[in-house]
Amino acid sequence: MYPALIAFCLLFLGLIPAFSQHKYMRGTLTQLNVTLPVAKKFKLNTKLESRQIFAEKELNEVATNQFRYERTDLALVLTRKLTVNTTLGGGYLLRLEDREFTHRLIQQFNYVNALDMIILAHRVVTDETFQPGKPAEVRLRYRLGMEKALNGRQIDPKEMYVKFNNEYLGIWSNATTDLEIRAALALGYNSADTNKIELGLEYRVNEFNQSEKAHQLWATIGLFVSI
Amino acid sequence: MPSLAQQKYEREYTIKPSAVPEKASKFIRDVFKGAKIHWYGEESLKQKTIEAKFKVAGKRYSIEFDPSGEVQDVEIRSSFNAIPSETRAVLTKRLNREFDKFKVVKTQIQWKADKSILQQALVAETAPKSVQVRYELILKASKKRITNYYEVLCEKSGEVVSIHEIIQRNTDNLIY
Repeated sequence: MYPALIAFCLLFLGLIPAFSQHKYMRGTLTQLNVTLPVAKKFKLNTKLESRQIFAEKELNEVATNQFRYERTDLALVLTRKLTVNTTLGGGYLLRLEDREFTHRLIQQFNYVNALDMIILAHRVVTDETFQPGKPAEVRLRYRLGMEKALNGRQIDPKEMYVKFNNEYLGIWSNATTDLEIRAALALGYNSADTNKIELGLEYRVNEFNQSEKAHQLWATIGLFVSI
Repeated sequence: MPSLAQQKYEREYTIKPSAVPEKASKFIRDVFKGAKIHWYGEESLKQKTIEAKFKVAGKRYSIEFDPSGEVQDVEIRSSFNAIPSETRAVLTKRLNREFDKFKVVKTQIQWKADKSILQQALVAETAPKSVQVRYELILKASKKRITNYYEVLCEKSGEVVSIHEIIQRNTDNLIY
Protein backbone atom coordinates (compact mmCIF):
# COMPACT_ATOMS: atom_id res chain seq x y z
CA MET A 1 0.00 0.00 0.00
CA TYR A 2 2.73 2.51 0.96
CA PRO A 3 4.68 2.28 -2.35
CA ALA A 4 1.39 2.80 -4.23
CA LEU A 5 0.66 5.85 -2.09
CA ILE A 6 4.10 7.34 -2.72
CA ALA A 7 3.81 6.63 -6.46
CA PHE A 8 0.44 8.39 -6.59
CA CYS A 9 1.80 11.44 -4.74
CA LEU A 10 4.74 11.60 -7.14
CA LEU A 11 2.29 11.41 -10.04
CA PHE A 12 0.39 14.36 -8.61
CA LEU A 13 3.58 16.35 -8.13
CA GLY A 14 4.60 15.43 -11.67
CA LEU A 15 1.44 17.06 -12.96
CA ILE A 16 2.58 20.50 -11.78
CA PRO A 17 5.27 21.06 -14.41
CA ALA A 18 3.19 19.12 -16.95
CA PHE A 19 0.51 21.79 -17.07
CA SER A 20 2.60 24.84 -16.23
CA GLN A 21 2.24 26.13 -19.81
CA HIS A 22 -1.53 25.79 -19.80
CA LYS A 23 -4.46 27.33 -18.01
CA TYR A 24 -4.23 26.26 -14.41
CA MET A 25 -5.14 26.95 -10.82
CA ARG A 26 -3.42 25.69 -7.66
CA GLY A 27 -4.52 26.20 -4.14
CA THR A 28 -6.12 24.78 -1.06
CA LEU A 29 -9.57 23.32 -0.63
CA THR A 30 -10.74 23.30 2.97
CA GLN A 31 -13.90 21.53 4.04
CA LEU A 32 -15.87 21.17 7.26
CA ASN A 33 -18.50 18.48 7.01
CA VAL A 34 -21.03 18.00 9.80
CA THR A 35 -23.69 15.29 9.64
CA LEU A 36 -26.48 14.97 12.15
CA PRO A 37 -29.40 12.56 12.39
CA VAL A 38 -32.78 14.27 12.04
CA ALA A 39 -35.07 11.24 12.20
CA LYS A 40 -34.79 7.46 12.21
CA LYS A 41 -33.78 7.16 8.56
CA PHE A 42 -32.76 10.75 7.80
CA LYS A 43 -29.46 12.59 8.09
CA LEU A 44 -28.68 16.22 7.43
CA ASN A 45 -25.25 17.02 6.09
CA THR A 46 -23.86 20.53 6.31
CA LYS A 47 -20.76 21.25 4.30
CA LEU A 48 -18.74 24.43 4.47
CA GLU A 49 -16.05 24.53 1.82
CA SER A 50 -13.75 27.32 0.74
CA ARG A 51 -11.07 27.68 -1.91
CA GLN A 52 -7.89 29.68 -1.62
CA ILE A 53 -5.70 30.13 -4.69
CA PHE A 54 -1.94 30.33 -4.54
CA ALA A 55 -1.07 30.24 -8.24
CA GLU A 56 -3.08 30.62 -11.42
CA LYS A 57 -2.67 31.22 -15.10
CA GLU A 58 -5.11 32.02 -17.87
CA LEU A 59 -4.37 30.94 -21.42
CA ASN A 60 -1.87 33.30 -23.12
CA GLU A 61 -1.45 35.29 -19.95
CA VAL A 62 1.35 35.57 -17.44
CA ALA A 63 1.09 33.31 -14.40
CA THR A 64 0.46 34.91 -11.03
CA ASN A 65 1.72 33.41 -7.82
CA GLN A 66 -0.31 35.36 -5.34
CA PHE A 67 -2.59 34.28 -2.54
CA ARG A 68 -6.24 34.99 -3.26
CA TYR A 69 -9.38 33.87 -1.47
CA GLU A 70 -11.76 32.63 -4.16
CA ARG A 71 -15.07 31.45 -2.76
CA THR A 72 -17.03 29.77 0.01
CA ASP A 73 -19.81 27.19 -0.40
CA LEU A 74 -22.40 26.27 2.17
CA ALA A 75 -24.32 23.12 1.28
CA LEU A 76 -27.17 21.38 3.08
CA VAL A 77 -28.09 17.88 1.96
CA LEU A 78 -30.81 15.78 3.54
CA THR A 79 -30.44 12.05 2.90
CA ARG A 80 -32.79 9.16 3.57
CA LYS A 81 -31.48 5.67 4.10
CA LEU A 82 -33.25 3.46 1.57
CA THR A 83 -31.51 0.19 2.43
CA VAL A 84 -28.47 -0.74 4.48
CA ASN A 85 -26.29 0.14 1.45
CA THR A 86 -28.18 2.94 -0.29
CA THR A 87 -29.21 6.50 0.44
CA LEU A 88 -31.18 9.06 -1.51
CA GLY A 89 -30.80 12.76 -0.86
CA GLY A 90 -31.56 16.27 -1.93
CA GLY A 91 -30.17 19.62 -0.97
CA TYR A 92 -29.22 23.18 -1.65
CA LEU A 93 -25.87 24.94 -2.02
CA LEU A 94 -25.20 28.63 -1.63
CA ARG A 95 -21.94 29.96 -3.04
CA LEU A 96 -20.41 33.33 -2.29
CA GLU A 97 -17.89 34.43 -4.90
CA ASP A 98 -16.93 37.98 -5.91
CA ARG A 99 -19.74 39.32 -3.68
CA GLU A 100 -22.30 37.42 -5.72
CA PHE A 101 -24.43 34.49 -4.68
CA THR A 102 -24.82 31.34 -6.75
CA HIS A 103 -27.62 28.88 -6.00
CA ARG A 104 -27.53 25.15 -6.65
CA LEU A 105 -30.10 22.40 -6.20
CA ILE A 106 -28.70 18.94 -5.53
CA GLN A 107 -30.12 15.43 -5.90
CA GLN A 108 -27.97 12.44 -5.01
CA PHE A 109 -27.98 8.65 -4.76
CA ASN A 110 -25.34 6.60 -2.98
CA TYR A 111 -24.47 2.94 -2.89
CA VAL A 112 -21.85 1.96 -0.32
CA ASN A 113 -20.56 -1.59 -0.10
CA ALA A 114 -18.07 -2.83 2.50
CA LEU A 115 -15.99 -5.58 0.93
CA ASP A 116 -13.42 -7.76 2.71
CA MET A 117 -10.55 -5.29 2.38
CA ILE A 118 -12.02 -2.02 1.09
CA ILE A 119 -15.16 0.08 1.20
CA LEU A 120 -16.51 0.97 -2.23
CA ALA A 121 -18.86 3.91 -2.64
CA HIS A 122 -20.74 4.94 -5.74
CA ARG A 123 -22.34 8.39 -5.83
CA VAL A 124 -24.58 9.72 -8.58
CA VAL A 125 -25.50 13.39 -8.38
CA THR A 126 -27.51 15.70 -10.54
CA ASP A 127 -27.42 19.41 -9.79
CA GLU A 128 -28.77 22.61 -11.27
CA THR A 129 -26.84 25.85 -10.82
CA PHE A 130 -28.30 29.33 -11.06
CA GLN A 131 -25.90 32.27 -11.23
CA PRO A 132 -26.75 35.95 -11.92
CA GLY A 133 -26.09 36.88 -15.54
CA LYS A 134 -25.31 33.32 -16.64
CA PRO A 135 -27.45 30.57 -18.16
CA ALA A 136 -28.62 27.84 -15.83
CA GLU A 137 -26.25 24.89 -15.72
CA VAL A 138 -27.11 21.23 -15.24
CA ARG A 139 -24.53 18.66 -14.21
CA LEU A 140 -24.60 14.87 -14.02
CA ARG A 141 -21.88 13.50 -11.76
CA TYR A 142 -20.64 10.01 -10.97
CA ARG A 143 -18.06 9.41 -8.28
CA LEU A 144 -16.36 6.17 -7.36
CA GLY A 145 -14.85 6.27 -3.89
CA MET A 146 -12.60 3.70 -2.28
CA GLU A 147 -11.37 3.57 1.28
CA LYS A 148 -8.89 1.16 2.83
CA ALA A 149 -7.47 0.78 6.30
CA LEU A 150 -3.70 1.12 6.53
CA ASN A 151 -3.64 -1.47 9.29
CA GLY A 152 -5.84 -4.54 8.98
CA ARG A 153 -8.97 -5.01 6.94
CA GLN A 154 -11.33 -2.46 8.46
CA ILE A 155 -11.01 1.14 9.57
CA ASP A 156 -11.25 1.10 13.34
CA PRO A 157 -11.19 4.08 15.70
CA LYS A 158 -7.74 5.68 16.06
CA GLU A 159 -6.61 4.18 12.75
CA MET A 160 -5.35 5.71 9.55
CA TYR A 161 -6.74 4.98 6.13
CA VAL A 162 -6.32 5.94 2.54
CA LYS A 163 -9.16 7.25 0.37
CA PHE A 164 -9.30 7.55 -3.39
CA ASN A 165 -12.04 9.30 -5.36
CA ASN A 166 -12.54 9.46 -9.10
CA GLU A 167 -15.37 11.62 -10.38
CA TYR A 168 -16.76 12.42 -13.83
CA LEU A 169 -18.98 15.45 -14.36
CA GLY A 170 -21.00 16.14 -17.49
CA ILE A 171 -21.90 19.84 -17.67
CA TRP A 172 -24.67 21.29 -19.82
CA SER A 173 -26.03 24.80 -20.30
CA ASN A 174 -27.48 26.82 -23.17
CA ALA A 175 -24.05 28.30 -23.75
CA THR A 176 -21.81 25.28 -23.51
CA THR A 177 -21.30 21.56 -22.87
CA ASP A 178 -18.26 20.37 -20.98
CA LEU A 179 -16.73 17.49 -19.07
CA GLU A 180 -14.76 17.60 -15.84
CA ILE A 181 -12.71 14.76 -14.43
CA ARG A 182 -11.50 14.69 -10.85
CA ALA A 183 -9.13 12.39 -9.01
CA ALA A 184 -8.34 12.72 -5.34
CA LEU A 185 -6.12 10.85 -2.96
CA ALA A 186 -6.26 11.49 0.77
CA LEU A 187 -4.74 10.12 3.90
CA GLY A 188 -7.29 9.97 6.68
CA TYR A 189 -7.37 9.50 10.41
CA ASN A 190 -10.47 7.99 11.98
CA SER A 191 -10.36 9.30 15.51
CA ALA A 192 -13.60 7.82 16.82
CA ASP A 193 -15.73 6.65 13.89
CA THR A 194 -17.66 9.90 14.28
CA ASN A 195 -14.70 12.19 13.57
CA LYS A 196 -12.39 11.88 10.62
CA ILE A 197 -9.75 14.17 9.23
CA GLU A 198 -8.40 13.84 5.71
CA LEU A 199 -5.40 15.45 4.06
CA GLY A 200 -4.77 14.99 0.40
CA LEU A 201 -4.41 16.19 -3.14
CA GLU A 202 -7.08 16.61 -5.77
CA TYR A 203 -6.55 17.06 -9.47
CA ARG A 204 -9.28 18.37 -11.76
CA VAL A 205 -9.30 18.82 -15.50
CA ASN A 206 -12.08 20.50 -17.48
CA GLU A 207 -12.81 22.77 -20.46
CA PHE A 208 -12.58 19.84 -22.83
CA ASN A 209 -14.66 22.00 -25.16
CA GLN A 210 -11.85 24.57 -25.46
CA SER A 211 -8.60 24.42 -27.42
CA GLU A 212 -6.66 24.02 -24.17
CA LYS A 213 -7.91 22.18 -21.12
CA ALA A 214 -7.91 23.84 -17.71
CA HIS A 215 -6.11 22.09 -14.89
CA GLN A 216 -6.60 22.47 -11.16
CA LEU A 217 -4.51 21.05 -8.37
CA TRP A 218 -5.74 21.38 -4.82
CA ALA A 219 -4.21 20.51 -1.50
CA THR A 220 -7.24 19.33 0.44
CA ILE A 221 -8.08 19.21 4.09
CA GLY A 222 -11.42 17.86 5.26
CA LEU A 223 -12.90 17.44 8.68
CA PHE A 224 -15.88 15.09 8.91
CA VAL A 225 -17.96 15.16 12.07
CA SER A 226 -20.99 12.92 12.58
CA ILE A 227 -23.12 13.83 15.56
CA MET B 1 -40.05 -15.10 21.04
CA PRO B 2 -37.15 -13.10 22.47
CA SER B 3 -34.66 -11.94 19.90
CA LEU B 4 -31.17 -13.42 20.01
CA ALA B 5 -29.74 -10.43 18.20
CA GLN B 6 -26.95 -8.63 19.95
CA GLN B 7 -24.59 -6.00 18.71
CA LYS B 8 -21.17 -7.21 17.59
CA TYR B 9 -18.19 -4.89 17.50
CA GLU B 10 -14.65 -5.85 16.70
CA ARG B 11 -11.35 -4.09 16.26
CA GLU B 12 -8.82 -5.81 14.11
CA TYR B 13 -5.29 -5.05 13.03
CA THR B 14 -2.45 -6.61 11.05
CA ILE B 15 0.13 -8.64 12.96
CA LYS B 16 3.64 -9.25 11.65
CA PRO B 17 4.41 -13.00 11.27
CA SER B 18 7.30 -12.53 13.70
CA ALA B 19 4.84 -11.43 16.41
CA VAL B 20 2.60 -14.49 16.03
CA PRO B 21 2.90 -17.14 18.82
CA GLU B 22 5.04 -20.06 17.64
CA LYS B 23 2.27 -22.57 18.45
CA ALA B 24 -0.08 -20.81 16.01
CA SER B 25 2.54 -20.55 13.25
CA LYS B 26 3.44 -24.24 13.67
CA PHE B 27 -0.22 -25.33 13.48
CA ILE B 28 -0.52 -23.69 10.05
CA ARG B 29 2.94 -24.75 8.82
CA ASP B 30 2.24 -28.40 9.68
CA VAL B 31 -0.83 -28.49 7.45
CA PHE B 32 -0.37 -25.81 4.81
CA LYS B 33 3.28 -25.71 3.81
CA GLY B 34 4.21 -22.60 1.84
CA ALA B 35 0.81 -20.92 2.11
CA LYS B 36 0.91 -17.12 2.25
CA ILE B 37 -0.73 -16.24 5.56
CA HIS B 38 -2.20 -12.89 6.57
CA TRP B 39 -2.21 -12.56 10.35
CA TYR B 40 -4.68 -10.34 12.19
CA GLY B 41 -5.33 -9.52 15.82
CA GLU B 42 -9.01 -9.18 16.75
CA GLU B 43 -10.49 -7.58 19.82
CA SER B 44 -14.15 -7.86 20.63
CA LEU B 45 -15.88 -6.62 23.75
CA LYS B 46 -15.28 -10.02 25.37
CA GLN B 47 -12.04 -11.46 24.02
CA LYS B 48 -8.79 -11.06 22.13
CA THR B 49 -7.84 -13.51 19.39
CA ILE B 50 -5.33 -14.03 16.60
CA GLU B 51 -6.56 -14.96 13.16
CA ALA B 52 -4.76 -16.47 10.19
CA LYS B 53 -6.37 -15.88 6.81
CA PHE B 54 -5.25 -17.53 3.61
CA LYS B 55 -6.34 -19.21 0.42
CA VAL B 56 -5.16 -22.67 -0.58
CA ALA B 57 -6.35 -24.64 -3.62
CA GLY B 58 -9.23 -22.23 -4.16
CA LYS B 59 -10.49 -22.54 -0.57
CA ARG B 60 -10.51 -19.58 1.80
CA TYR B 61 -9.52 -20.44 5.36
CA SER B 62 -9.73 -18.42 8.53
CA ILE B 63 -8.16 -20.05 11.58
CA GLU B 64 -8.59 -18.50 15.01
CA PHE B 65 -6.15 -18.83 17.91
CA ASP B 66 -6.16 -17.56 21.49
CA PRO B 67 -3.37 -15.11 22.47
CA SER B 68 -1.13 -18.05 23.54
CA GLY B 69 -1.43 -19.65 20.09
CA GLU B 70 -3.91 -22.44 20.95
CA VAL B 71 -6.25 -23.10 18.04
CA GLN B 72 -9.87 -22.11 18.70
CA ASP B 73 -11.64 -22.91 15.48
CA VAL B 74 -11.29 -23.25 11.74
CA GLU B 75 -13.60 -21.52 9.30
CA ILE B 76 -13.81 -22.43 5.64
CA ARG B 77 -15.63 -20.24 3.13
CA SER B 78 -18.53 -22.09 1.58
CA SER B 79 -21.94 -21.35 0.09
CA PHE B 80 -25.41 -21.54 1.62
CA ASN B 81 -26.41 -24.22 -0.87
CA ALA B 82 -23.47 -26.39 0.24
CA ILE B 83 -25.08 -26.75 3.69
CA PRO B 84 -27.04 -30.04 4.00
CA SER B 85 -30.64 -29.52 2.90
CA GLU B 86 -32.14 -30.65 6.28
CA THR B 87 -29.94 -28.08 8.10
CA ARG B 88 -30.90 -25.39 5.62
CA ALA B 89 -34.59 -26.15 6.05
CA VAL B 90 -34.46 -25.88 9.88
CA LEU B 91 -32.31 -22.74 9.72
CA THR B 92 -34.42 -21.05 7.04
CA LYS B 93 -37.58 -21.68 9.05
CA ARG B 94 -35.96 -20.14 12.14
CA LEU B 95 -34.59 -17.12 10.23
CA ASN B 96 -37.97 -16.52 8.62
CA ARG B 97 -39.38 -16.18 12.15
CA GLU B 98 -36.58 -13.80 13.20
CA PHE B 99 -36.58 -11.56 10.11
CA ASP B 100 -39.15 -10.19 7.69
CA LYS B 101 -36.78 -11.14 4.88
CA PHE B 102 -33.16 -12.11 4.59
CA LYS B 103 -30.42 -12.83 2.10
CA VAL B 104 -27.30 -14.87 2.87
CA VAL B 105 -24.25 -12.92 1.72
CA LYS B 106 -21.50 -15.09 3.20
CA THR B 107 -21.32 -18.66 4.50
CA GLN B 108 -18.53 -20.29 6.46
CA ILE B 109 -18.26 -23.81 7.86
CA GLN B 110 -16.84 -23.74 11.36
CA TRP B 111 -14.89 -26.67 12.82
CA LYS B 112 -14.02 -27.00 16.50
CA ALA B 113 -11.97 -29.83 17.97
CA ASP B 114 -8.63 -30.63 19.56
CA LYS B 115 -5.57 -29.42 17.73
CA SER B 116 -4.50 -32.78 16.27
CA ILE B 117 -8.03 -33.69 15.16
CA LEU B 118 -8.42 -30.32 13.45
CA GLN B 119 -5.11 -30.79 11.66
CA GLN B 120 -6.19 -34.24 10.45
CA ALA B 121 -9.54 -32.84 9.30
CA LEU B 122 -7.80 -30.06 7.37
CA VAL B 123 -5.48 -32.52 5.64
CA ALA B 124 -8.37 -34.86 4.80
CA GLU B 125 -10.60 -31.87 3.85
CA THR B 126 -13.47 -33.49 5.73
CA ALA B 127 -14.64 -33.34 9.32
CA PRO B 128 -14.78 -36.63 11.31
CA LYS B 129 -17.54 -37.09 13.90
CA SER B 130 -15.29 -35.83 16.69
CA VAL B 131 -15.26 -32.36 15.09
CA GLN B 132 -18.02 -29.99 16.14
CA VAL B 133 -19.43 -28.56 12.92
CA ARG B 134 -21.28 -25.28 12.92
CA TYR B 135 -22.20 -22.75 10.23
CA GLU B 136 -21.53 -19.04 10.37
CA LEU B 137 -23.59 -16.88 8.05
CA ILE B 138 -23.58 -13.19 7.26
CA LEU B 139 -27.08 -12.03 6.43
CA LYS B 140 -28.50 -8.89 4.96
CA ALA B 141 -31.84 -8.96 6.72
CA SER B 142 -34.84 -6.77 7.45
CA LYS B 143 -36.67 -6.56 10.73
CA LYS B 144 -39.53 -4.10 11.25
CA ARG B 145 -38.61 -2.54 7.88
CA ILE B 146 -35.03 -1.81 8.97
CA THR B 147 -32.29 -3.60 7.08
CA ASN B 148 -28.97 -4.50 8.68
CA TYR B 149 -26.19 -7.02 8.41
CA TYR B 150 -26.24 -9.89 10.94
CA GLU B 151 -23.85 -12.67 11.88
CA VAL B 152 -25.66 -15.92 12.54
CA LEU B 153 -24.07 -18.99 14.12
CA CYS B 154 -25.98 -22.25 13.92
CA GLU B 155 -25.46 -25.88 14.86
CA LYS B 156 -25.10 -28.70 12.35
CA SER B 157 -28.79 -29.40 13.03
CA GLY B 158 -29.75 -25.87 11.96
CA GLU B 159 -30.55 -24.74 15.50
CA VAL B 160 -29.49 -21.11 15.95
CA VAL B 161 -26.77 -20.49 18.54
CA SER B 162 -26.49 -16.71 18.24
CA ILE B 163 -27.44 -13.73 16.10
CA HIS B 164 -25.37 -10.58 16.27
CA GLU B 165 -26.12 -7.36 14.48
CA ILE B 166 -22.99 -6.12 12.72
CA ILE B 167 -22.42 -2.45 13.40
CA GLN B 168 -21.91 -0.55 10.17
CA ARG B 169 -18.92 1.75 9.95
CA ASN B 170 -19.58 5.42 9.45
CA THR B 171 -19.22 6.19 5.75
CA ASP B 172 -20.46 9.80 5.71
CA ASN B 173 -17.11 10.90 4.26
CA LEU B 174 -17.79 8.72 1.20
CA ILE B 175 -21.37 9.86 0.77
CA TYR B 176 -21.09 13.65 0.98
